[in-house]
Amino acid sequence: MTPAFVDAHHYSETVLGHIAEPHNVGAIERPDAVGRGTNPSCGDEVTLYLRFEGERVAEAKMEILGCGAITASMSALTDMAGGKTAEELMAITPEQIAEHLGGLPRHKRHCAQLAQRVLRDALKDRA
Amino acid sequence: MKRVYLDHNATTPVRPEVAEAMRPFLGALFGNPNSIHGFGREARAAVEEARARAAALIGAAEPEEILFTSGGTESDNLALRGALAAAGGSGHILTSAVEHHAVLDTCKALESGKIRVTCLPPDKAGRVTAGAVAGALRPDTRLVSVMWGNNEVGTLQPVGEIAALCRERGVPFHTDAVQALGKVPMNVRELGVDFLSASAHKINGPKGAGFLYVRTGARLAPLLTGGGQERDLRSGTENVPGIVGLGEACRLAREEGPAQARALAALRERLESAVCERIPDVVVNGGAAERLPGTSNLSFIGAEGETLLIRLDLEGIAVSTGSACSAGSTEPSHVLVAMGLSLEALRGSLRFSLGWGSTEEDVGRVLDVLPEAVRRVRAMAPKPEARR
Repeated sequence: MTPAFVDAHHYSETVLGHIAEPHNVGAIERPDAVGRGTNPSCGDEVTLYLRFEGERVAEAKMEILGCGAITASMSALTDMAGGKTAEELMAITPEQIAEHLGGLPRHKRHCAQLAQRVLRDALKDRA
Repeated sequence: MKRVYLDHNATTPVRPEVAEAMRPFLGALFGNPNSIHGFGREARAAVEEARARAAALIGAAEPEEILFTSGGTESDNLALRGALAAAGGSGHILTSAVEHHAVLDTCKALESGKIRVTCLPPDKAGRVTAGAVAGALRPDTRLVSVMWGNNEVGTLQPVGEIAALCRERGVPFHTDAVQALGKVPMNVRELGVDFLSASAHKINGPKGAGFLYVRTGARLAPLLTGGGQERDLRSGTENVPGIVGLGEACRLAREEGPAQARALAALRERLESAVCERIPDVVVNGGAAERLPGTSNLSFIGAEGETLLIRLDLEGIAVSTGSACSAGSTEPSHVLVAMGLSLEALRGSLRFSLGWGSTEEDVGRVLDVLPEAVRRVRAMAPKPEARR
């Protein structure tokens, strides 16, 4: 299995793909939950929108102003969130986000962590 | 897809003339220049020819004032550590906050109870004035080190004025000229520079070769001891192929540098004016200063440098960025921070550096791709009302 965080300077092809064409970009008009996050050290700004149908996520979208790793992390997170319950979303870890991307450089760990924080912020918003 | 390389401040392509000049020294001419026999003499002749070419490019009085090293970083280390050691291993170093890490981190490593360092802040364009240097000199200042041209924004420092001031005060002056070499006229003898660092791979030569100019009479202690090569100041068998490549690159830079600098300045001007015309909210970092001809550091407000870099890369265009979102502690470009850029401008900075081989067509490709890349990255950003 690919390790979540790798000693690499460069991004994997999967990460590059997400940066070139991030998934689920934009806002949801009537979201059930909105999470926001910034990374003060580098200035990344992220917004996550979730729409639920019953107990499960029907739509996840995001807006992003940040580096390649946070763009890819959010893109991956919106893919991973689909169909999950709030409880399942709470269980998503930065490692799983990085694994979904085929590994992130170790010095970008904080980007996957920011994605998780934004997700939890959204779930708090819904609660 | 034709690739466009606009990252010449990182490294440059080896010119075919340089590779050709090096080739025999990777083959039949393998001798050790320190050997007495014919093989050694051939190699020695080539090394000394390269030394003369390097000396000619910077206006050194004597070829012997050139010491071959492994590159800019070693040259900077040798100048700083060697000059301080020769001065007794204690005292004050005066430098600027926009130096390359090879200077800044060496100063940091030297800083101790016996050695103190002052880093002069630049103005908004990245300039350090001779007046500021004069104001910060101390009776125990043993070395002033201010770079000639900045690698990130291209700002040229008033090295002539600073050198004159240092001469007047009797303080040795070092300049890291790695980026400026071959791009601006240089005459170390007239300016009164004591030490000057240079690197081959920034002037279309090979990696792993460079030199330190040491003015006759300037005091320097070696870092490397051993066989006593390079006037006992840099032991180790000379990197003959690298030195020959460096020499050829210096020859080409001397012959073609002035015309190339004019052409690059014109290309840079075209790039900047067209980018500013086609893309809103662009800041030209260092634009108020005199700059290296091929360097353009632009901030795209509301966008992020690394994602722009990757989008350009996917279109085959290579540039670099001063925005480095890395593990918490790592700052973005220390140069842009020292220049006082806003967080927005820091985040959205890209460096385009042109060089030998750059064409109108290359600039045209950037103009075809960049506006859409910036538009897309900006469009993904959280809307102001959604931001906290």
